[in-house]
Amino acid sequence: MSFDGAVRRLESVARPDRYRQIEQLPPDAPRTVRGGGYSYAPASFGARTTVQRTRDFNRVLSLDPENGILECEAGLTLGQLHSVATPHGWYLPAQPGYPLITIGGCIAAEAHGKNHFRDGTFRRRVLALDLFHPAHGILRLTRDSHADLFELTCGGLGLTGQILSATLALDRLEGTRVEIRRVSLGRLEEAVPLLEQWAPKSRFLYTWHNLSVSGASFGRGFLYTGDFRPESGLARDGGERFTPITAEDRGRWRVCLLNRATTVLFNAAYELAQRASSRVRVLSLFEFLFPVARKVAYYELFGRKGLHEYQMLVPVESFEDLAATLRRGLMRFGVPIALASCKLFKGERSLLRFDGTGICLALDFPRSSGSERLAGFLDGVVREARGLPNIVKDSRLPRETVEACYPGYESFRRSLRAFDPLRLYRSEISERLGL
Amino acid sequence: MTCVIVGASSGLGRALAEELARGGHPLVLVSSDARDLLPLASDLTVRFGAAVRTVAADAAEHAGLAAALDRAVPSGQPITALLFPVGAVEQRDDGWLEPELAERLVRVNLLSVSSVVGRLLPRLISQGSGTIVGFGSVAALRGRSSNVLYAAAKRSLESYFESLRHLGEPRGLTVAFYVLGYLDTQLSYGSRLLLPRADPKRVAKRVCRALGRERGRRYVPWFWYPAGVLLKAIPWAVFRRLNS
Ligand SMILES: Cc1cc2nc3c(=O)[nH]c(=O)nc-3n(C[C@H](O)[C@H](O)[C@H](O)COP(=O)(O)OP(=O)(O)OC[C@H]3O[C@@H](n4cnc5c(N)ncnc54)[C@H](O)[C@@H]3O)c2cc1C
Ligand SMILES: NC(=O)c1ccc[n+]([C@@H]2O[C@H](COP(=O)([O-])OP(=O)(O)OC[C@H]3O[C@@H](n4cnc5c(N)ncnc54)[C@H](OP(=O)(O)O)[C@@H]3O)[C@@H](O)[C@H]2O)c1
Repeated sequence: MSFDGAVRRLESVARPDRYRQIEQLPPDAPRTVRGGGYSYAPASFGARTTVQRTRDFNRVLSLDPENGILECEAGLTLGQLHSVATPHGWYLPAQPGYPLITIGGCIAAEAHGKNHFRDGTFRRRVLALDLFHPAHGILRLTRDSHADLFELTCGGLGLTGQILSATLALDRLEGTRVEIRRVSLGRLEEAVPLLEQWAPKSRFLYTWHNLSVSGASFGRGFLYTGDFRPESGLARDGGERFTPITAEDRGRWRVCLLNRATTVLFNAAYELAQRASSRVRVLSLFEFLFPVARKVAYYELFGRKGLHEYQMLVPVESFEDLAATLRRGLMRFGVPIALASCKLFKGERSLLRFDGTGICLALDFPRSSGSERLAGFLDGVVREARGLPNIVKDSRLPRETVEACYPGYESFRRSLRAFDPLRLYRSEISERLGL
Repeated sequence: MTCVIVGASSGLGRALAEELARGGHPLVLVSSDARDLLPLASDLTVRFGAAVRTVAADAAEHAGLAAALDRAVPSGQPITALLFPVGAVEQRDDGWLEPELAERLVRVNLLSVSSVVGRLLPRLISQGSGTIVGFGSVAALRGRSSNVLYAAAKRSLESYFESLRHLGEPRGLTVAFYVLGYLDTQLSYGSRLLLPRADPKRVAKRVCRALGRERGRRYVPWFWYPAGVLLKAIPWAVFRRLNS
């Protein structure tokens, strides 16, 4: 089952827990590597292969407490890494918002955090990788040796082989608490100037928008800017307890509680609650990095049918037009937008990585009859804006959209086939996108 | 202080290693493949500061394993506990297994334990303290048409541990034998079961909490005790129908 609830398949899942078991599959058997299974799209199953889970390969191999270099197996989760690194005064910037996501998943999906404008994507943290492929054995990839394969594997959607372990460069922790300041913004377009204005003064930065209001204040909301609270020291983190959610049990509620009326209500209630609360809040680093850990009910609201998360990265210059198009266009689909949020990106585009410079806008909406059409409309919007859609977040993204938006598509496909002519590692995504 | 875990690379053994490392015990970890043991040792060292040695040896070669372990456990250091979460099953263990494989099952599941205990027993006895922990299986409660020799070896192991109690307790040793229900590990992965699988981490916590205090035979999880009594009470005429 994909996290967004769109794709459900019955497949044979292996759960190796010793190295020889990874190698046990016949060398020509197609396979899929599955980390935590938190990709919204079926990135780690769905190609009628044997799915190999990495959850038991989650050991920390070394930690250099002087220089913040950590080596671990690829099934280590972000939460586990957090609990190992923080006592030594280190943390991993550029991480996605759920603690059970694995290091392997972050590398393969080139994940980002709320600080892309400062810290870039996950790849920047990766110093070396050990990659297993039955035709090539175990290869050590760095920026110097097998450099092309290193590039192909970071953001390679798990298609180059199984990442066994990774060496990561951590950052010094300047406190275990994060102070978040809220700034109001009047409409969606204001996201750009405000994000640009706050970027030099922020460590973490993102916005929230209410797209349920029409007219001039469409997309009004808040900007949140965060930084470490210097005096907090290595206080107890306190937030590490949470009830796990998996792709399989996200949809345990049969019905979707988010329709147009409730979405208007939820968004208004959130806005009110924010305005009523203090402008500055202090959270533990764990709570801040993994906000979803204790708010999984949000995902359950979408019910069995699930949700779309449409995430796009568009150049700053296109954002104003994009906002106008959304203001005019969204209404006609009758699909409630449960969540809209922007982040600021400063990076470079290459291959199939969700990376570059611009504004990253994410829209969550329930899966319904009109939602497919809305997503199709957004495909057009992204193309028009010369932007990128995020591949691991969209279970339906058509191949032609990806080909049109990602100039690196062809070169990724060619390099992958040169490395692995049999194309052993597959997924629903690789089949849909013809990779 | 030192705890020896034979069968430490996965499942319950790995969970026990983690639990004991958290408790500050130096460890000696045994399984057949260094590729699995070394990452585990590093992990326990980084996370808990544990002193960990590893011995990669095939438990089927039980005499060699016992000798290797004797060398690996530093002679000056007291041995707190020997734990044996080692175990292996064979898919074709249905009564028709070739002699070599059958013998291997008995070696891994029974003789590896008795050889290691035999080798280290003098040291435990001269310390006048120490705990020996064995693990049986509910699969051995009644004869079955699958895992035939595995179950036979596990039942022998249970008998062996009862004998060990006679031998050890008067000399200050603690001997415990846990009859385990199904665990959520590789050993039972993919098979259809009537009762739920237990989380090896919880079982490990349970075992370590009572380490050195609990003795004799115990059922874990507890509901296997009544289930076992029931299972054993079923007359053959009925049982043979259930086990088809
Ligand atoms: C609540 C939530 C919040 C999120 N927040 C963010 C966010 O802030 N930023 C962001 O960028 N993303 C975010 N994501 C998306 C998530 O980070 C990615 O989808 C990530 O890839 C999930 O990793 P996973 O361990 O669950 O792997 P899976 O979803 O199982 O797999 C993802 C991909 O990685 C590959 N893979 C996994 N392990 C290995 C390995 N060892 N070797 C080779 N390939 C491997 C798989 O084959 C697959 O292609 C979020 C997702 C959720 C559910
Ligand atoms: N799983 C269940 O449902 C269940 C139920 C009842 C009882 N039990 C018993 O509980 C104990 C733990 O089981 P588990 O589920 O944790 O099993 P597991 O995950 O398969 O672990 C077994 C351990 O024994 C080691 N081992 C097996 N053969 C070996 C050999 N020839 N040489 C060296 N080491 C060997 C394995 O290491 P390598 O393979 O890496 O060598 C591994 O570390 C076993 O005694 C088992 O019989 C299990």
